Amino acid sequence: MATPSPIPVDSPHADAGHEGDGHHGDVMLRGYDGELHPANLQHHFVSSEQQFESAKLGMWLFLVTEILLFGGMFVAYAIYRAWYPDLFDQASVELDTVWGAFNTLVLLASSLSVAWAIRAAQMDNRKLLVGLLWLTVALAGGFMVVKYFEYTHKFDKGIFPGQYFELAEGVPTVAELQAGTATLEPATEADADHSGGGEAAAGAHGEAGAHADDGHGKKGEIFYNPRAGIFFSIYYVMTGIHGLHVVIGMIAIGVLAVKAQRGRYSSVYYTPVENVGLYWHVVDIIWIFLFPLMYLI
Amino acid sequence: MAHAAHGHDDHGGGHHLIAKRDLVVTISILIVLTALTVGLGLLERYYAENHDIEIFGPFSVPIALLIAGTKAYFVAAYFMGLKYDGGTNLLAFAGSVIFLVIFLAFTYLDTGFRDTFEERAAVPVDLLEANELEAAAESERLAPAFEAVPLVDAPDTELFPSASADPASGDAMDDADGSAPADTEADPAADN
Repeated sequence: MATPSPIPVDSPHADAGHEGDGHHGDVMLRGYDGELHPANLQHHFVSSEQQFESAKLGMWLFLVTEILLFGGMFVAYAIYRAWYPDLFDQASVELDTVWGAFNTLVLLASSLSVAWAIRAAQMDNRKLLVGLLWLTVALAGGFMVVKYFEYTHKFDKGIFPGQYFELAEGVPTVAELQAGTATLEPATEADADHSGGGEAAAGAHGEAGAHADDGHGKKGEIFYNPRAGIFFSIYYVMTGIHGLHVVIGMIAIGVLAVKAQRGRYSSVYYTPVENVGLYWHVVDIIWIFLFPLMYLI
Repeated sequence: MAHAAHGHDDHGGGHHLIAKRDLVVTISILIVLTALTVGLGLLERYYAENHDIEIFGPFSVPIALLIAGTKAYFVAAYFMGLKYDGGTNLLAFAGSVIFLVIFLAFTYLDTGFRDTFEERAAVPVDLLEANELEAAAESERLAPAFEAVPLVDAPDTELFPSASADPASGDAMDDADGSAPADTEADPAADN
């Protein structure tokens, strides 16, 4: 069987039997049927157009699973929020709104740059395509750097997920309460007045009015809520898995940028750019929901 | 819209070339909505902390979700091109959102009403304990009001100067004096 031999053609549309055949690739191959086919066209597709649409639908189906993956975590968030509304109010104060908003804008900008990169690919502007892809990687890197500083700042304050959350001294943990080895002392009137309420279970061990600063750097009502770990479990898992998606996106877009530099993509074949772009927009959309739910309310 | 790509963008496929103007307008809307949601969030926090006023109260979550949903719409419709794709891709996306809503709604129908039907087991143990402690403190506070008046075991010498301080002497008088109200309130000890 003769191996298909590449035959360069001057115009990508030269061989098109009909209008709207889509992209052929710059190189035509003679297939086993003896006909000329675009080099990028897999033999099980009728046309490059069908191949592109199929790849895109496949990407959308993957994105559906991504939405449902994060959906499960959003449901966990919603249920714990319905159970412990005060916990979420107290915890959101610990998250830095300014950095969160900055990161939102960074991700929105990276979405724009990816959308523009696809436009550049469609217009055969390779230089712009490569530049915008690298810009997207840089913006994603900026997002991760901010995330790094947010995380380390929380670790310094003893804000860890679940049972590892470092409560203020004397505040019993949920485990101790359930085992019966510690009890909550009901908040006194003086406590409630001093802290403006919302701190029902915080008046432990007679430290009346000392919550503002008890000398351990534990400022904030969240350090007196035995359930603080619940919120931060949800916070670290959701933002952590989102961050993982950002890192994976950075790698994917970096690979695209390198390949684009080598001229792999053009207006007739840019399927990977389109699909990675779709993935990146979903990562952005998830952050659009995470940011207000975690940082603002 | 710019229809410059290949001159055959009427097939509804993935080759829509988004106009520069659309990209700029979309990102502008997204930035404005981000500023709006941050502004409302900070406003709410400011009033809660300084004036103890909940300006949105229970509506803060729906408002935030509405703004986020609007932002997601613009990203999906323009950046992701769903507005031009339509068809199967939109069906897949809409399907995921619909199933997410079902997931959330039915889980909430379970978890949101657990305490409504006297399923105390669903109430966290420390909340029960806090309630019991509160109840105990309350009954302790009210206890003096309900304290029983101590029984008189010796007659008041001012009112009954001739009475003996020894309670046993009273018993002797009851037994000796037949006019004692034995018919109305018989001494059970005497009968039995």
